[in-house]
Amino acid sequence: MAAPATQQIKIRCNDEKEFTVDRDVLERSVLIKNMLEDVTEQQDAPIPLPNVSGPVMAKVLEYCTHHRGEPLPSADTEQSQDETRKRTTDISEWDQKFITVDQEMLFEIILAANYLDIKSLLDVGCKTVANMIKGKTPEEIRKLFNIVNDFTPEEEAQIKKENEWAEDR
Amino acid sequence: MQIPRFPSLRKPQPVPISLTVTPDCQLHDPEKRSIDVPNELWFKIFDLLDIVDLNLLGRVSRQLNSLVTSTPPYSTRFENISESIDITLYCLKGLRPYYGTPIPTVDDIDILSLMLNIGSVNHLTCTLDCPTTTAISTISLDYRRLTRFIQRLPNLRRITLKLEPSNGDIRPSGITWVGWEDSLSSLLNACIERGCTSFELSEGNYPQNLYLWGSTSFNPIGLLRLVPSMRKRLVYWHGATRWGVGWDVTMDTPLRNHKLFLPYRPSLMLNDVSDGHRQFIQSSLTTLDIGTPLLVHPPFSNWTYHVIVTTPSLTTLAIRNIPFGEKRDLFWRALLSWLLEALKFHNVLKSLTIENCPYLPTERILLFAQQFKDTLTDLKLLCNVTPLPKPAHLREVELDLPNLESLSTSWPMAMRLADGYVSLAQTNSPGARTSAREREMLEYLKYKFPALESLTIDDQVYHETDGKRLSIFRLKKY
Repeated sequence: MAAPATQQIKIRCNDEKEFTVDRDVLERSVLIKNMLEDVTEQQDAPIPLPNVSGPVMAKVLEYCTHHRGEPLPSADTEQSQDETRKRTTDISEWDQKFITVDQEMLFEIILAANYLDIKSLLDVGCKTVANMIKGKTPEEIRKLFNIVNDFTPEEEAQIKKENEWAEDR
Repeated sequence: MQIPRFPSLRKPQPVPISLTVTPDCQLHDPEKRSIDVPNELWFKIFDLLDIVDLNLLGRVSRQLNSLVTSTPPYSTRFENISESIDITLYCLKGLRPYYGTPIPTVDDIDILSLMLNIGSVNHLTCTLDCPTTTAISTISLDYRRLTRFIQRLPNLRRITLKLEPSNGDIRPSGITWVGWEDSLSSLLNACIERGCTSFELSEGNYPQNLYLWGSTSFNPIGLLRLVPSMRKRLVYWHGATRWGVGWDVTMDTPLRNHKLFLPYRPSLMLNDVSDGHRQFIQSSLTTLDIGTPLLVHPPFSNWTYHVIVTTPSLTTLAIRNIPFGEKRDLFWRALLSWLLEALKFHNVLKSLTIENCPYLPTERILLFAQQFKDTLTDLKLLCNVTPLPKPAHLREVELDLPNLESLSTSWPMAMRLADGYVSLAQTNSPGARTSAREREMLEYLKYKFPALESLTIDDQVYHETDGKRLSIFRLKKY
């Protein structure tokens, strides 16, 4: 018999922070869902999540709680979604508000979504980064992501020359 | 095959895809943490960017460059490098009239997001909006993008450009073009510079029942920028003639046969502008197929002229669908005059085709062909017209083309070529095609053109199979 929807699951982050969450919220994460399905017996010990910190997990859980009950993308819809998603970087209003965080947190959320296998959250994160990159010059991107320009001036000029055909908007 | 110097065509270094590998980006600001994103996630992000952004991202750092160039569409372009590809692009933004054929579904193609091996593109067909008042900025953007795209196609040998007016441009008062768009000039120039060996310009498809009429106005200034040296000419025209007389081609001229028809101004005869045009870049076109009156009218005729004089290898010229009627003999004279002058720059014309014109000034055409006596091997005069009697003031033209190998023509035209040497008196119908006349005709033409190998008269093909004909040949003048 399937576990009741109200079942509470404990998780422990890498900073020892623990959360007790409804099972259906946690099952937004394919990683945790699979873990729970593999464990047949009721366990009191929290599930360790060594790659996620407490503050990040709190954000992730906020997302999962808001989207609880929504159908998880299956493999088929995933593929068709992939096509429609391509080059469209629209984010829903709530998600947009949710993802308005500092850059460090943004990347932490993306990494956590990737680790926990929460596809929709990963999409939101990647779209946000893509939107940040769109329309920016290389220098602006360097500044944005704190990247050092390690090209020699000659290399840079060469690449610029080779690519300029595509840079007209 | 030589791989051009273009990042998308350079074999990228393999990038290990791993969750543990992070971009080796140095710290720009030591206080601030650099981003720590696995390659796999970068690829997900790249997937959401168009090629313009990807290119810019590739200029950020070596690491990102290496990542960017290892992703599609860059990496996929390496597939099937040995095959040549024909691609068709629809870059139409405006609404289209109903075609009767499937309407192109892609209305806003980002031509730069093509995921193919551009090194293999051999033939590019592109349908573009006319430079019209509606959305001129986006159209010129398409022109510019296409221009740059073409400049990067190393093996492009053939380009077909179709310029189509959209629904919004077709009004009761006609089609309004804002003029010759600079970016279109660059595009055409790029086609030539890329070494295309064939070029077509067409007005695109119109539904048969659509009647286009009204005025068409061009702003030729953009056209003059086609080559820098033409700017001088603009100054000259501006000063020497009344501004607007030469260039104001706004006319209430109907578009005939769904072709854009512009009036010709004899005051703009192009042999006036030949001086100083010798220093052009050279193209490697071999065929110029003028299928529309558009290209022989100002201001397009300037472009056509320029194309010819800058093409030392232009061996094939076709002129089709020129609607100048008998009353426009002057237009034919002007056209042949500047074509001759342009072609004489290099004097390598081997094949001349004149097809589907309602009227042909026969003597002038023959005089024109005679000018290429030493090089012409293929002559097609495929207009179903009865040659006019020779004007009294012209001397009789006797074609003398010792190298002519192939001749295609109509019976009336063949009769004209054999003028006086084929009996007219054999039947009651002068000029009719009878077997006796046909035999005489063959004999005469073989005599007249000693190198002739293939003769076609009104779709009937004669090959040189019977050597005896020559021996029984007796030249008679009736």
